[in-house]
Amino acid sequence: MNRSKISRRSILAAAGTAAAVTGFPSILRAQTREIFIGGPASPGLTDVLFPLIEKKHNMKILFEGTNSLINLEKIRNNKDRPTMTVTMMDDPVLVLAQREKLIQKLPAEVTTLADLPALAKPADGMWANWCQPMCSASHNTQKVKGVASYADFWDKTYRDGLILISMRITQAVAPLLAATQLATGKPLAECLKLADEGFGKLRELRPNILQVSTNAPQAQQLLETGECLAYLAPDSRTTLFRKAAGAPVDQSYPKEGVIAMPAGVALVANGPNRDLGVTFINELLNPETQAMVAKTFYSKPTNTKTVLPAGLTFPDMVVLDWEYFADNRNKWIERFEREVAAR
Amino acid sequence: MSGVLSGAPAARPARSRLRFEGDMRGLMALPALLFMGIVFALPLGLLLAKSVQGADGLTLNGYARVLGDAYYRGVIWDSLTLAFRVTLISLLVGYPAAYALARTGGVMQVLLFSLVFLPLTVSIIVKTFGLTIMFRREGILNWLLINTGLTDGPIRFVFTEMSLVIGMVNVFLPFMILPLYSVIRMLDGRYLDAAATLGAGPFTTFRRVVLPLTMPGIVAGSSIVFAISVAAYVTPGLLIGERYMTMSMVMAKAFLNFRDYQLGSAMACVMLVIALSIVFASSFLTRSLEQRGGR
Repeated sequence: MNRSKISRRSILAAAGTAAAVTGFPSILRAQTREIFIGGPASPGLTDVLFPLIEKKHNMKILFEGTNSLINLEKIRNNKDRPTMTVTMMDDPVLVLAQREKLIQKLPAEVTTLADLPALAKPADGMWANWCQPMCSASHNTQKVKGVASYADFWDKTYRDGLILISMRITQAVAPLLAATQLATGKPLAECLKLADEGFGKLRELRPNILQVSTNAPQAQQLLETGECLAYLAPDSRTTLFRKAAGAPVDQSYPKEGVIAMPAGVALVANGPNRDLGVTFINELLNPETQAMVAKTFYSKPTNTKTVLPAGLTFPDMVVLDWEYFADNRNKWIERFEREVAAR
Repeated sequence: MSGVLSGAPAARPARSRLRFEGDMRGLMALPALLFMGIVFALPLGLLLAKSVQGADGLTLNGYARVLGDAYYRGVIWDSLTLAFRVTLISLLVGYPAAYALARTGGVMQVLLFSLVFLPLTVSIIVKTFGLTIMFRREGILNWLLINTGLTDGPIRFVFTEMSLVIGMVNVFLPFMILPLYSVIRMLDGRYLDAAATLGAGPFTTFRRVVLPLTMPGIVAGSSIVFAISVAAYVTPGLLIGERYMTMSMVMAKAFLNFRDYQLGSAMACVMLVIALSIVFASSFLTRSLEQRGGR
């Protein structure tokens, strides 16, 4: 009977096998570096944009898509040991992040910043706007032929036909400013600082409000099925993306104007893999990617050297003072809930 | 055991052994107590501390803001009335179901159990979205109403209080049925036979025998459903949104949007007091009912 012997050779073979089995994935992981990004749950990011950047720069993007305030809360909670490298949030929330020193100024290595106008580099380049989605209203094309003016939404033909986005979401600025414009007669661009005067008019919209929603996918689904006639106000990232997919929805272009939503990108203060973060932001802002962003997200690019794809145009948009918005948002949330949303 | 009953001197060690075994059995709850202490009691303590923490020391300002504001009092009232309606309807629907479940057997019981348990395996979000589809103007409910001639045109169901209550009953009904089932299952059939022998009809038997004996199940099921309904966040958020603010929504706003921990914690503590009152009251009620039943 042969007895199995433990020889030096067998120990070496076993150790080699163990190293190969347990170590090989680590070697692979080491070759593809990972970057953790927190951002919006917009369509097109994880299925179109990120795969291109991952392939081009041999990086793996771990993405968590949620709304900006939840994203901010996560950064706050990990302030001492940040896990996120890059955050993609809207400007009013980035204003808060800047005040709490949760983001750091974009470094000189982000060379593409030079091609952005000053308005797209808020707070002296603390963050950059990587695109400007259009925000006005979205309507069901089978039920509504078009929206000439924001005033249309106050008409009784819209009774129980509107979903308003909650004031907790930045896009809610659109119906508030529309109401302010109608109440004051001032141009939309001047309405932000008069917004308190718009609440009375917004209250008049109550018979037409089917729901005040914080759940954008649900609201979008109800718009597409015709349960509501219009939705105030998702931005073009959602509306035109869904329109391109065949959904019966379209962006409304009321005569009073369309608001530019600020989609920002920033480096988390003391976040890991800073060099990857810089690479990611540079890639996001370069003219070729910006052209793709414009086409994928139906949002105006911010890099002035971008050549828009044929057939794609954007109207002039109203740019708001987001710092003022950030300073007043809590007060408006409170008023909105008590005066507009309440039964 | 015999030593205990006989009262003989030899029984003393046995009695202390029994007490010791009883204590040891109590220790079996230790892991659960530790777990709950860490993940429930500790955060709760912190929450309580936050609710009385002001810039200049201890304060009851958070509670004054919650209870002194007509809007927040309205939110508390709305949350309580919603929970009450959900509990009442769950009881009315759940009691016969639990009775049927306990009194049937074989394939029928398996089928009924499936009906109770299967909804628990489906996410609240899926169930709620499903309901929204059913309630739509072009949904199956309106289709049925129109095609049976009950209405001429579609009725608005989505984002109404009625759809909210139906949706919450749909989500929480199993939590009413299960405690009821466990009590009804223990009901001795001979009591029903005795009542029938004494000439009691079905209604009298139910009112005088079944209902009192199953009251602990009613109290337990109702307190569970009330407590989880009053704290519900996801279902009201999806079924009616901000047009029906609940205490949980105020907390979310305070913590997430306003970073007003004092307001959020005070509202959370108010909700906790309500939930604890219900648990203690139901526990007291169950105990007194059991004692009355024992006599």
